Amino acid sequence: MSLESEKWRISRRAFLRVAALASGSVALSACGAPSTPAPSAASTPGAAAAPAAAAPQKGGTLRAAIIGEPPSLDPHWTTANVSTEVVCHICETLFTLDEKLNATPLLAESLETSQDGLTNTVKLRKGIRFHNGKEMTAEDVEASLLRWSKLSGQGKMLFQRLDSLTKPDPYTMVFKMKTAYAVFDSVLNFRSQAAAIMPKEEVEAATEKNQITKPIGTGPYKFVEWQKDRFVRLARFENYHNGIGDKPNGAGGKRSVYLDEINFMPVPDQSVRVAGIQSGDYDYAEGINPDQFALLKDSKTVTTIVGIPTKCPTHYINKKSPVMGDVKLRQAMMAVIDPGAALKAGWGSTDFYRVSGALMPKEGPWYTEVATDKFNVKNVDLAKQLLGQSKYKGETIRYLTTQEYPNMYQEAVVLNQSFQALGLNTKLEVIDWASLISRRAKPEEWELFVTWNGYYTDPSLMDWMNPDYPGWWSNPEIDALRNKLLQTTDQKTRFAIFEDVQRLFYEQIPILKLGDVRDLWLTSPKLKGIGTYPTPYFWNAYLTK
Amino acid sequence: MGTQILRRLVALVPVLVVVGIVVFLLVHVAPGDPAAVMAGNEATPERIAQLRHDMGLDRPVWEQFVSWVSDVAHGDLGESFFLNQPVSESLVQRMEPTGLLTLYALLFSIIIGLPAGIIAALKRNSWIDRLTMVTALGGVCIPSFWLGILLILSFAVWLRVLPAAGYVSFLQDPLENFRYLLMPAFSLGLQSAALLARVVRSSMLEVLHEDYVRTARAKGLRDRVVLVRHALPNAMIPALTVIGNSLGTLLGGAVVTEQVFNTPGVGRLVVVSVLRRDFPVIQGAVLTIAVVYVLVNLAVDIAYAFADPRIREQNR
Repeated sequence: MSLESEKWRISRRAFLRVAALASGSVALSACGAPSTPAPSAASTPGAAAAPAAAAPQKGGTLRAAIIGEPPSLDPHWTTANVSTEVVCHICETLFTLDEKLNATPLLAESLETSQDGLTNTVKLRKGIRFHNGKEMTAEDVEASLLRWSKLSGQGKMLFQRLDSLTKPDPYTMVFKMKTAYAVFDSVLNFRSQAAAIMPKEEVEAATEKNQITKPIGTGPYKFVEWQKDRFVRLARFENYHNGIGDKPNGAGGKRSVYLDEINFMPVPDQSVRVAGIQSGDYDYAEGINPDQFALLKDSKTVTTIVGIPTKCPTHYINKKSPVMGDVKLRQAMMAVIDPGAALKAGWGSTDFYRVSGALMPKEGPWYTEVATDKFNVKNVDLAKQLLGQSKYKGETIRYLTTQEYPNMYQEAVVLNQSFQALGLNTKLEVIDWASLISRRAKPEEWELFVTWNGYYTDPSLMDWMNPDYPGWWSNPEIDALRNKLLQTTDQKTRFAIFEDVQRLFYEQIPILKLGDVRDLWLTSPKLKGIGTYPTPYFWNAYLTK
Repeated sequence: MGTQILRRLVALVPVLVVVGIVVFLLVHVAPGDPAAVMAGNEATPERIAQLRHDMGLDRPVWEQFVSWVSDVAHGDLGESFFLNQPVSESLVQRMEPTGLLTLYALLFSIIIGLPAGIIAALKRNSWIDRLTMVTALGGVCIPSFWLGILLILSFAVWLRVLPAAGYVSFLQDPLENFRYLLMPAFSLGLQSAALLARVVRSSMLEVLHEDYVRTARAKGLRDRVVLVRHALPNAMIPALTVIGNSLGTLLGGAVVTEQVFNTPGVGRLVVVSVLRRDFPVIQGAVLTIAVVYVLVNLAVDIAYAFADPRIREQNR
């Protein structure tokens, strides 16, 4: 399955962007959205495009309103998005995501995998400097990965499969695996709880016991100051390596650093973030509800940016629950729901959502429609028939949702109506997010909960595939497929295995996936070149006068 | 007077004990796991368990309570889970915005409310009186967060003369600091101003009918002298009650106002700490606020004594 086989609609503006890329004039501005039909790009004045704009200029302080205080600035410490989006400017990984959502080198120069998949040889780029002036070598990479492997679930899994790690020279690392591990470069490009590379002395001093509070990395911006609940201040790293090649490619490729400083400011209230952009107090605001789009898309003081649809709203089913362990009941639920209605309630306009049963997004290399005829059937009779075949006797189904994320709440309200119409005794429990994430970890406390999942370069890394993630999809069939997917290195075979996974998914209905959604961000019209692969970053971004 | 103050300070101890127990229990009984918040949406159960252990949350609740109480008794409010810094430090950092916000709001309410009440009383039943009182009624009714949003829309989004949200320290730039606090303080103070205006008006009216005011007039004193020397000081006692009470209300109202204007004060710290289940911060902040509240009330009572010789006599 390749991208070429897809039908790509390219808008006029998207075409202009591509033209701009080719001419190399404002290559940076294209990062705002890829050549998907991004509604905002066509409707916003200063959005990613504007090829005729002046050349990027150095200088200025970017004031970014983020949704909350990062729990940590230690890249290995937490999976919280709000931490990731700050830290990804400071610390970098060996690989990152390209425009087609594949892994691409960043601090690594290349990756060679042997025929049997057991040996991964990573060549490191030379002359990469840390913010403290030291050059990055295999010593630093090894120490960083070791610490990461003790804190991150993905790191742990990688190191469990690792037989030996050797460093023939300062710029070469050989990972000998016990079994082939097809997602080797994918786990190393994770943005959340990233396998970030920091100087050996720093990670060894911190160990896995202590949090790093002043991270030192190789990134485009270096850490300056953190005033809790007020701001995190970063400054341009003058000796930055500027990425690879001569033009940006997703989050990879060339990375230029124009801004003098970035101030990330936690602004938990959405209305304050919006007002702050309108008043000129902020240059960037995130976590904007799509219902603001219609109000703001024609504004002269605000530019709207719509992301690529790589987030999926998911309603997890507790397979450990005696009630929900019943496959027929889960099939009945899938048959009765109207994903389109739920997404419309949560996300407003189709500018922001698409109904899709495919487990991986159209924009990446894993898209397949196999077995999706069982998705979006909206057939009450079929649902009743399936319910009749189940052992369900009217037990209470506790459905956890939160109003902290309005879209999650709205989706759950709509799905809940379908469930009750079918005669299920569902009870919507509206609690705050902190309660939800603690309750969902306990199998005896819930039957359904709502969340969303981000995109990973490999389906085996998606949360619903993880047997330990709340919901716990684990049984002999899926466990066998998961292992096969992880241990097969040939891409064609892997794709066929993934199609089997999707087939099994629609037989067993481990979760209710509704579709794919896009995020909305606001920027000041002065801010150009912001990248969104798949969440925003500010290398290549610059402020116009 | 001295023994009175001492007695009140001693009475603070049982208040703190009760507040401490209640807040500790509330925080620990409510669902929600700080470790899960710290570790993020996609963390493994193993990682969350590890963080729980590091935070000491896997110990029995009574054990956690005992160690917290013994720390607090030694003046140590503990370490924030989320902010990775001592609770006392995070509170001190946020005292300035909240303190100044409350102070400015109080000044606003006095500057607006006092003259408005006096003028309304003097021009009783005129259109000025009615306009002032209707405006005051509106002022009492408008919720401060709504007023805040209207102010942001008008002065930050449309006119762009004031910052929409945020904060600059007084020590860094006093003028900028005032610009950032102008709208929050106004929206917070208006309600108290309206209340004050109504109370001052009625108490002024009462006083203006007293015999001693008539006597003063009969002596041939000028209106201004009658007002400033004879009527006003006596009308001020109820006003002082309102001002004193509103200090507490303002401190509480600051929680909402700080949210609306993203002011990094104690109020916002409490709200975000509840959302991220930062137990030590919630406990420490509530205790501190209780102490401040009691001390403010004490200060108001002392101020009474100075304003009213009768009270001073009673306490002797």
